[in-house]
Amino acid sequence: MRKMTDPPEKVDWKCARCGETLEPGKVTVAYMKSRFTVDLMKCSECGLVFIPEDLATGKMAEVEKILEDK
Amino acid sequence: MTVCRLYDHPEMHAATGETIRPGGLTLTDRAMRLCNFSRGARILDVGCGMGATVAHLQQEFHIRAVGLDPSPSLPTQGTRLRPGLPLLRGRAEALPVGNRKMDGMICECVLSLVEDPPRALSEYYRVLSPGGRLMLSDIYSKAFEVQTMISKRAKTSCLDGAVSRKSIIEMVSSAGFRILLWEDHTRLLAELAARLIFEHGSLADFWQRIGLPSPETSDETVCSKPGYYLMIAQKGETNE
Amino acid sequence: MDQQELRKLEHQCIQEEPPWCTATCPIHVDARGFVKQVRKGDWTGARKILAKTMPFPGILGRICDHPCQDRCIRNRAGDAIAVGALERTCVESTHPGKKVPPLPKQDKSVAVLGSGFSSLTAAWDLIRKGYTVTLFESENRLGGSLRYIDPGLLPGEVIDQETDILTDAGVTIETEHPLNPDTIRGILENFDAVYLGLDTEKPIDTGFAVAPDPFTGSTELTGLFTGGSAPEKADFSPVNMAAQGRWAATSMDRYLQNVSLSAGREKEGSYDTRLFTSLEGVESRPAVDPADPKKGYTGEEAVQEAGRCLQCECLECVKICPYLAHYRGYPRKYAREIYNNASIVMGERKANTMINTCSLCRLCETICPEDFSMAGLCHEARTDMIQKDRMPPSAHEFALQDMDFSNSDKFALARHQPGFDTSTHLFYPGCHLSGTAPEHVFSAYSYLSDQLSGGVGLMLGCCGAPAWWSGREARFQEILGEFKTRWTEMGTPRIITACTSCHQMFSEGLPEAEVISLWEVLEKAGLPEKNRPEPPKTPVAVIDPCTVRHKPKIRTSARRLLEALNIKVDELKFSGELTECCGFGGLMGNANPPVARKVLERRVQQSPRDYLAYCGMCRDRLAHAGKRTVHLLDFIWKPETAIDPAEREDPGFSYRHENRARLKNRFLREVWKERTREMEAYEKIALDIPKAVRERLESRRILTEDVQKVLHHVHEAKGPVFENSETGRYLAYYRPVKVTFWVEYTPQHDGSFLIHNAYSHRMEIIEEP
Repeated sequence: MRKMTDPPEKVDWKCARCGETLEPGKVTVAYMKSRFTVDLMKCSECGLVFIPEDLATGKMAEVEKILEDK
Repeated sequence: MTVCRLYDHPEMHAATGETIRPGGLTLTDRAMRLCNFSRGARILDVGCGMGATVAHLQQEFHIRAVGLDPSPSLPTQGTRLRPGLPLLRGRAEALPVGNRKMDGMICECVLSLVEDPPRALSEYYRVLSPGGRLMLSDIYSKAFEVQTMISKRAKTSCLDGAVSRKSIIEMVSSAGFRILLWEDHTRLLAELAARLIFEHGSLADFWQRIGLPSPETSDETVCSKPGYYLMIAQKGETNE
Repeated sequence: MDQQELRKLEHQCIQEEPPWCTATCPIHVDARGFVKQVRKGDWTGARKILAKTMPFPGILGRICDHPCQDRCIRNRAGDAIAVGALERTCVESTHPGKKVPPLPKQDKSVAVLGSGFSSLTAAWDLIRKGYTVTLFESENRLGGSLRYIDPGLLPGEVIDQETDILTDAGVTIETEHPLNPDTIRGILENFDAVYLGLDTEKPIDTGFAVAPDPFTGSTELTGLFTGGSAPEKADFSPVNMAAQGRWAATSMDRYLQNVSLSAGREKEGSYDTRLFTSLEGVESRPAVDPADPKKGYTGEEAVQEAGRCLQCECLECVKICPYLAHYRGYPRKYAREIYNNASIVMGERKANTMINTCSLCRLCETICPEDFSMAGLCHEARTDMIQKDRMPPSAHEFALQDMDFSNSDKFALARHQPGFDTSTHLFYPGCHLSGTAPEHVFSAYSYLSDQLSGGVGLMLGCCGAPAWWSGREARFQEILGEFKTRWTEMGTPRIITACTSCHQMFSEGLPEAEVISLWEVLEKAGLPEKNRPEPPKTPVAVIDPCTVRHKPKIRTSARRLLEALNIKVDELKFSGELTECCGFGGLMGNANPPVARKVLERRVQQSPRDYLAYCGMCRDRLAHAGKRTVHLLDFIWKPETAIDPAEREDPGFSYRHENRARLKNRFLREVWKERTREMEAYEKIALDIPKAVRERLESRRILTEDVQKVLHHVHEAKGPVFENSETGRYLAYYRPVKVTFWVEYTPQHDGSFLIHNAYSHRMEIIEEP
């Protein structure tokens, strides 16, 4: 089963600080005292996390709304 | 027999066989620490699914845990995953356990699904030894006006069966229990919804994927202002 | 809101009040529902509705004297709906429903004397309440005076068929049982309660005088009840016979259960309903004429006649408010939802959003026959949510930040007129006019300081309306308090507002102050003569801001100015006291953009004319919706640009900030000859934002200063940034306070940044240790 948090196979972005490519990893995100572990692309060197637009405006926005409205 | 369609669905189980329910094992651990059972105590997990909680209780708390589930498939899958795990098939309303045999009962996100909750509670009372503790967690309705009669129609998810705190306390007391603690953990519901969104993209997608009508579109599965609770109740010391 | 307040509110909304037909009917038949089914041609459904209330629909449906028709609203637009005739057609073409199985018995027995229509009704009601019922009739058949009705209308077989259900239900029927003083005395002794039907010309001889209580039907003799209506009486009415029997049966039931005979029975019998139904747009249409009056309506004729029914309901507020329509309910329901704070799990329809969506414009209150105020209800709910810390943070955050910007040193200013150390007047233009038409604010101040004596001070800032609208009472009082301090220091001047929302906030929050609108001042002082632009060539429709709903003086001043400017007006229907919201008020636009859009769309389509607003926000909102809209000030002072003022676009929030900051700087430089504020480092970053991207930022509520902050963070603080190997673009993020902004950009050769995209989220990434 392919989850929607699966990072796309080919990502054009790379970390501009390290110059390294991104690879999938576990990231903790938090909002309003709740924490979740999600799979996201991170810089293989410095661990910088990449949050794509569709995640921010899609799932994250939906989750934020749910946590706010209680 | 009630078929729990929601919890039977593989989407609701992680690869480890753990049921995705509000709070996961953290609420279980909290309940166990509050009750403080001794090593080797006998605990029955009603609605054990594939037995992740049973295994967890054995490992973390050194409890003699046994699981029970009405599902035709889940207990079998569970024993396949963890051979030797004591999982039985059966219903809460007719526990295949003798009187006063259990030190504890754990019933998580299950009572709202059971067809005859008062009957189930009296069974829990029967099989508990005097002083035994019942750990109950489930959805409840925080809305002011809520039907107090529990509907007996087939429930596809615990959202259908949510009733008020007052009804639940009355029900548990009527079965003979003394209520030691009631805690609200409604935040866990929101967190579960959030986890499902991260897993499945959106809640609409989630409901579609598991083939059930989404609550916001279906008029029937509307739970007014859902909450989530943890209750600890105790059977009296002398056998009544 | 407590239970009592809730009940009061629910009572105020009349939507659930019965229509005139039902209220007038002594037994409250759902005539509206019945006619609805007839309209669909669903005869079985129609009969079911009758059977819910009517005893023996086959009988009463044929002979009812339909008092409902006298009060039918359709009387005022043609003829009343011929309910009686429709009922006849219905019961003639349908059969009685399922038989009622005998019910479990109570241990009390009742006797019904006579079998006239009131007696039959009493027997029917009592057997259904579970009593053992015995009916005594002296003749050999049931029906009493019903048998004397034209058999063409009410055949004997129908009476037999209908009354058979009494036996099916378990009533013991004793026909040919003599009813005289002796037998009656026996019955009185052997039964727990007795009903005496007075439906016959020759009343049953009981051997004593019987004087019924007109309300309950009880008599001086305990346990004996009576009622009915004899045919030769002037007020004879078949439905009244049924009603009498019904009320007596209720009395008997209460008597046998030992409860109050009269409590809670105010709605029995005919009463006046509070339901209001508008006849606007309803054309007068006469009743359908049956081809054969003796036979009554054919099925088709009946369906046609039923088509004339208005299906009475109120919904006056829902008709004019897209917000009320959006939630598919009406105020009574909303009051209860808000009280319960009901929510649907994991769905969108939560009471929180509904509470925050109301624009507080109070149009519903003005339209409602009972003055129901959603504004009152919603504002109180918001205040409550804030106090209980249950307000979703993102609902109003953007607007509150905008307010904070306006009260920050980037815009806030308070000065006496140069050369004065006190002020008799204080010009408070407000944050939105300053954000959209700063040049008009500058011209207005210059003009006012010229025309009025004693020193005209200037104060720039936000009056705190967003705080008040969002239920943040404490914050609002804080802002008001600061304003009051400054105003007092300046000599408690007369406050001249260019915005009527500011006007409302100051009038209500600072009752000791004299607050007057710019329009009234201009009317009195006279308009500037020179440099006046040409008036529009075609008439305009005037948009009154919702805050002047109850301020006729301001509305009149504005119109007098238009007259003085030779601007012709083609008034909208919903103007003045009935003006509609532009979708900004109450922070509707923040809390629920889709509904705000619906509100705008409705407004925009109300006239083909160009609109003229005298509130800066109204003008911008309408312009945003693509409507050609001018501001009143556009015709007093020539705007800076040569473009048609009606074509000027909504500047958007980012530009508003820029305009406000520039306006303050201009005042400082040109009027007070002071140094302007030092720009912060990030403000110096030059951005190149294409139009489409700018629109996207606006709709996502991302300000250009947010973009500047991200870029500043990348370059000064070595913040996180990604590079796209394909496109060569960069993507960076920064979290100034609570929101993380992501910006996609390309650095330009001249040091500016070309912006391609931006998005945001509130969730934080937790750095792994």
